[in-house]
Amino acid sequence: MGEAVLSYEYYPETLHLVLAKDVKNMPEIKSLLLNNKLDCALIKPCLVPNVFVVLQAAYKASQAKIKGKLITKTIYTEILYNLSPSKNITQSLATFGAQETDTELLLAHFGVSETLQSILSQIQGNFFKPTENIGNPEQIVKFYNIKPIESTVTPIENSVVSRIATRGVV
Amino acid sequence: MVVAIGLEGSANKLGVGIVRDGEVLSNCRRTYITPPGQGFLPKETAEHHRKHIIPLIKEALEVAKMEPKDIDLVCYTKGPGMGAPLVSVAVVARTIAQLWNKPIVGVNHCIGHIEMGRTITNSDNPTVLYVSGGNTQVIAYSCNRYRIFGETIDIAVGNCLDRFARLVNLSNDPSPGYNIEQAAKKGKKFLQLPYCVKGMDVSFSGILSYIEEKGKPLLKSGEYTVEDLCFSLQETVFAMLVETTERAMAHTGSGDVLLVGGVACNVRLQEMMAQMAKERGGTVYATDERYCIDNGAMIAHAGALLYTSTGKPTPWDETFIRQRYRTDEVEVTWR
Amino acid sequence: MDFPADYQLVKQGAEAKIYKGTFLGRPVIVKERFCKTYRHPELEAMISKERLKAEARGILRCKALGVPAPAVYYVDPDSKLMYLEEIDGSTMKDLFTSLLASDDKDAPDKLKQLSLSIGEAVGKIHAGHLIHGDLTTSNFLRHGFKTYLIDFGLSSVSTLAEDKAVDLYVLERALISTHPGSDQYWTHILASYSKSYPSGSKEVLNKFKEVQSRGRKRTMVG
Repeated sequence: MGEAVLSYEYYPETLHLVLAKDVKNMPEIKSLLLNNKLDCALIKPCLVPNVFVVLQAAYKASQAKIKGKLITKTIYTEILYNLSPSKNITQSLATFGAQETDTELLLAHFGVSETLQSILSQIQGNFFKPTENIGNPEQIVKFYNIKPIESTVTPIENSVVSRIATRGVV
Repeated sequence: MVVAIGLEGSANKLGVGIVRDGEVLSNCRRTYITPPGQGFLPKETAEHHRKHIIPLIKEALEVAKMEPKDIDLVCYTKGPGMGAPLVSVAVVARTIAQLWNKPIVGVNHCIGHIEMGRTITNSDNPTVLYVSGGNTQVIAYSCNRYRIFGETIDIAVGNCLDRFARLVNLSNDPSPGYNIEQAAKKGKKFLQLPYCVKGMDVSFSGILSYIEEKGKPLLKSGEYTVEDLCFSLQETVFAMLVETTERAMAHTGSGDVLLVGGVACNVRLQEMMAQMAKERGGTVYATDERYCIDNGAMIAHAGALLYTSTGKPTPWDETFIRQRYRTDEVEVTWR
Repeated sequence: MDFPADYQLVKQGAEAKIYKGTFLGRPVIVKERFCKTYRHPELEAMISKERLKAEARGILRCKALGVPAPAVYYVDPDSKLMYLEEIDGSTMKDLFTSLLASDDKDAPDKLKQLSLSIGEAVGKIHAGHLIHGDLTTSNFLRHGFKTYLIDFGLSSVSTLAEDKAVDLYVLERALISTHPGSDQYWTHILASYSKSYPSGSKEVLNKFKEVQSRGRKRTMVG
């Protein structure tokens, strides 16, 4: 199981990322999540260019939590919100959160390997370590409104990363 | 050893000074002061200079305990400045040079300020902020020129202060800038004014129109006092000047600052600049009103430097004046 | 600011300290804007907030207009920190300085190429109404065949030819004062500027002449 997890040390916690495919019990997982029984973020992978973007969104969320400046309810909803170019929270969570009809999800959890295992044990699917390229470039470009001229000078993921970083500042 | 007499009259100050190798033997001055709400005009200023220059030359000789035969060199301000006042002084310089049979040197006014400042403060290679009624320049030396890194893209800072003083009807005696400085000490409430820095350049005209449009009603309603506006104006324009100076310093890698020109007398500007320099591990050099305000000694000193380094006076047919004579046009032969 | 031990101070600029380090495993440049104690606190608060915002906006807009700029990784408005993608290149300032001093027979041609790339970048951002506000040779980075623009703290958005002309004027003066002997390359900058901004460069260049002559004609009394 360990090889399917990408872990990143954040102060004061560790972030774990797992990519789940062929998930069979999405409705069940969703309802656990909505009832606060699943301590994680379930991200829709197709709009995420790569791991770094998730690390960044999670970093931003953890900093906001430390400073008491979370805009949404939890650090996990904050990750989803951070990933979104929209300022509408409900819409952001709906767009970036995995939905009942999905079969793939990117799971993000702050904690230790035991807490992660207990979450994973409730998901029926195959687990993979997230790789560099995750999402669907055409969908990402459209969704983040990245024009072809911008793509000529900077990789798509950099465009996404810059938008995420500056959101709330500009 | 060269004894030089310097004649300055590019604006409303008339100055005559005598300098021997950087040592100031005399430095006499008369200022043409206009009524409140009025600036000085070329014709009247030239009249003032014509009236006072001969007595002032005599006074300078007396203070220095010298006679015309002791003088080795006649220096005058070639420019930049107002045409008529410049001419009124240049004519006298040419006359005494011929009368006394001495070589003559035309001096760039800005270079006069810089060289006098360097000598008085013993600063070797500072970044120079030259701020006066007609000039706002950030200058640094490289490759035999004083190069202008930053300057105003519209009006000079001194001009901005003068015009502000006129807007709020402050006295011109002894100078509008001095009266703004004194009033600012009593100001407390800060009014946000347009802060306009473009690279190493600054712009002040927006501040004036803002004061005219928004400041005057605020005075009328009693929300702000004239003192508050003076305070806010100084804090804003000086912050812009310190910032651009710092940018130039970061760009050229130099650590020290020399403040010259009439506005450089302002203690608040000196304080702010000192704070900036301290944070960069440098020093601020400033001179007092004897030297930062236009004077004859600086013209004598800079003229003597030019003359001794080249061994040549200004050719007679080039001893005219130039209203727009840029600092970076002068080849620096003495450094 | 206390940074992890692997952060190194690389430059103390006029308004920011620049550090090199890593962020989430990537090499980054961290720009820490420091407080100007000489400024009135209200003025300082307004300026530092505005500039951080202008920088973030400027970078996004610059990239969107097809001119390379570093990616932004993280912004901390409270500590006035900005984490940026590290661009492993040389500043145009260093390139110009060394090429102008070199006897390499290719130097003039290299300088011409660099000048063309500067003009192209400025033309593109002006075409998109982005005013950089601090165009100096220090704020262009050359990486391979790409020319990056950096330091957008004084940037703004304006459609006015006057603002674009002043932007060019600042660049011209920075070029001349910093690089004596570079005058001839200014024409190349303007040529590629016009080429990459066909719709409006004519009007801007007319204004530019006006701004230039305003500078020269300004009375310098006192």
